[in-house]
Order: sequence, then C-alpha cells, then structure tokens
Amino acid sequence: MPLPGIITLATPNEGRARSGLAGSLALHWRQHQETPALIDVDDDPTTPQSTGPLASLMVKADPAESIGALARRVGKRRRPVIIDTRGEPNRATIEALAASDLALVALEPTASNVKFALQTWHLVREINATRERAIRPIAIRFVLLSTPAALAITYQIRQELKAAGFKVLDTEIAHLSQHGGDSARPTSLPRGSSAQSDIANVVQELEKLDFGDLPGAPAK
Amino acid sequence: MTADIDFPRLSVLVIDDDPSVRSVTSTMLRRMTIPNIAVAESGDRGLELFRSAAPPFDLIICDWDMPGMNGMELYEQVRADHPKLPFLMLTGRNDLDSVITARSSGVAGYLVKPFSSEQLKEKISFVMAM
Repeated sequence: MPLPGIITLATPNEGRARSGLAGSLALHWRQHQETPALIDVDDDPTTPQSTGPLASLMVKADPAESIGALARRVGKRRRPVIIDTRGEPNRATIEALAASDLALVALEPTASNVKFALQTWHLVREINATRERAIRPIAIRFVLLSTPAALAITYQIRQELKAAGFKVLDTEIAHLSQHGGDSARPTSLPRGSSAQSDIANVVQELEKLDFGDLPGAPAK
Repeated sequence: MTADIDFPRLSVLVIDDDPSVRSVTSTMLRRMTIPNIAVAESGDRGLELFRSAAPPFDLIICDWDMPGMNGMELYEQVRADHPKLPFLMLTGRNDLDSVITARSSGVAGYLVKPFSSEQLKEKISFVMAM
C-alpha cells in the first residue's frame, strides 16, 4: 500500500501526545528510507530553524502560504508530510485537515481528550461532505495513549469508541520519545526501545490503510 | 458515543429565508420533542428575536445565504455577546472554503442542505455537547 501523502496529527492541547508523536513518526519513516517532512502549525516562522534531531525534517511555514498549500507543495518531493496540530481547531488546523489523506487523532483516556477526538471526527466528516473531498475522503483514525495505571479506563474507552463506530488503532502508545531542540540528542529513535516498538506498530497499521493512487507521489 | 441531550428542554431559533426549509426544519425539531421553536425569515428578524428572547435560546440554526444580513454576519453579532452559544449553520454551500471559513470562525456545526432528520438530530447532539 502507498504511504499516506499528507497526515494531520491532531492532539489535544495538554497531555503526553502534545509533543513527541509527530516527531517519532517522522523519525521512524526516515529510518525506513522514506522522505518524511514535518510541519508544525504552531511554529513561529520568524524563529530560527531548530538544531535538534528533527531539524532536517522540519519545514518552516510561510505566513504568505496556507498550511494546506505548503503541505501539498512539500508533498510533491517528500512523503509522508506530517502536520502537527494541537488543541481546538483554528484556521491552520482546519486547512491542514482539508489537505490531508489521513487524520490521526491521538487521545489519552480522559473525558476532555475524548471530547476533542469527537470534535475532530465531526469536523473531518463535514470536510468529507464537501464536493472537493467527497471523491477522496480523509481517512480518520484514533490512537490511544495509555499508561499502566490507566489500562482499565483505556480499555473501556476503546470499547465504547469502537461500539459507536469510530475507528481506533489496535496499538496503544505507552511509550513516547520526546524530541526537543537539543542537538546533543540522538538523531533517530533508539533501536529496540519500547517507544520505537510502539511507533513501529502504529506505522504498520497505518501502512495497511488503502490510500489508492495518490496524486503527486514523489519518486523514491 | 453521543451525549444525551435533553431535547424536551431545548429552545431553538431557526432562521432561513426559504419558508419550506423553515417549515421542514421546525417539523423535524418538533418530532425530536423540542417544544420551544421560534422561526425568523431573515437575519435581521432573527437577531431581533434572539435579543428579545427571555429566557435565551439554547441553539441557533441558521441559513448562510439570505438577503440582508447573512448567516455569518448574524453569527458574528451573536458571538460578540454570547461566544459559547451553539450555532449550527445550515447551508447549500458544500465547498471546502465555506466549511473552513465557517468552522474557523467558531461556528460549532455545519450541515449541508438537503439533510435528513437523523443528520439534523446528530448534529444538534454534537453542537449541544460541545
């Protein structure tokens, strides 16, 4: 199956998913000879480029260009393009979703996170009802972030979401690497780590999704 | 996994310049057991009803394209005083730019005409739960 061209990662404003997941996915794909790019919608375009492990993957937003247009432009050369968004959807987030092949919604087993996930799901459905996206709707998947202390509630929330018809990845992320701007950090996910294993499982599930013949796929 | 909304306690303002849409929407709302339904044929009249309502409406369901004040202009006026009031946009616009414009302005829900009673109920449940 082809990789999704543009993935919007939607995470709530608080919690562990807030940072780390987008970077971990990008690093995983780079380690597997893909050409990922990472766009942070909250990134201040005037700040200098990061020097951390993600520096070579980051694409700076241009205030004159919409996030969707930027992602499509970058997606002609690199794949997948991961757009990292956080919190209540603003214009940039909605534009990112509208340009995406896949919306990946990360949530912890809390009421506020579930509410956030459902908000995003409704928004994606509204976008998919438009004439532009009706023929190639955005796929949406939820991914749960769990902790040993929250296994029971995570299980219950998974069951309820699935019973209500929402699509939830089987993988639960229990370990997540953080990728700050520190250039002394390693430039890839530590091999054999739990974090690497969780991300690999997520990617394996995503790569099973059928995105068909996506336009503008870069030559590898 | 939808919120349980107490439909028999809701009061809803429906604004649309098309009498058939006002009628069909009101009928659907009554079948949802919503007892308090007010209708307006224009944005200006809708704003007037909204401002004079006591107790206030719980939800506004509004068309976008109307002569005079349109749905987005009405929404901006309502939001200035009631930023949390659920606002559902009913519209014939099914293009991406319109969805992006409405949702990024803060409109809670967006439903393209024609719609079914089930779609309207699901959308109301969603915007009321948010």
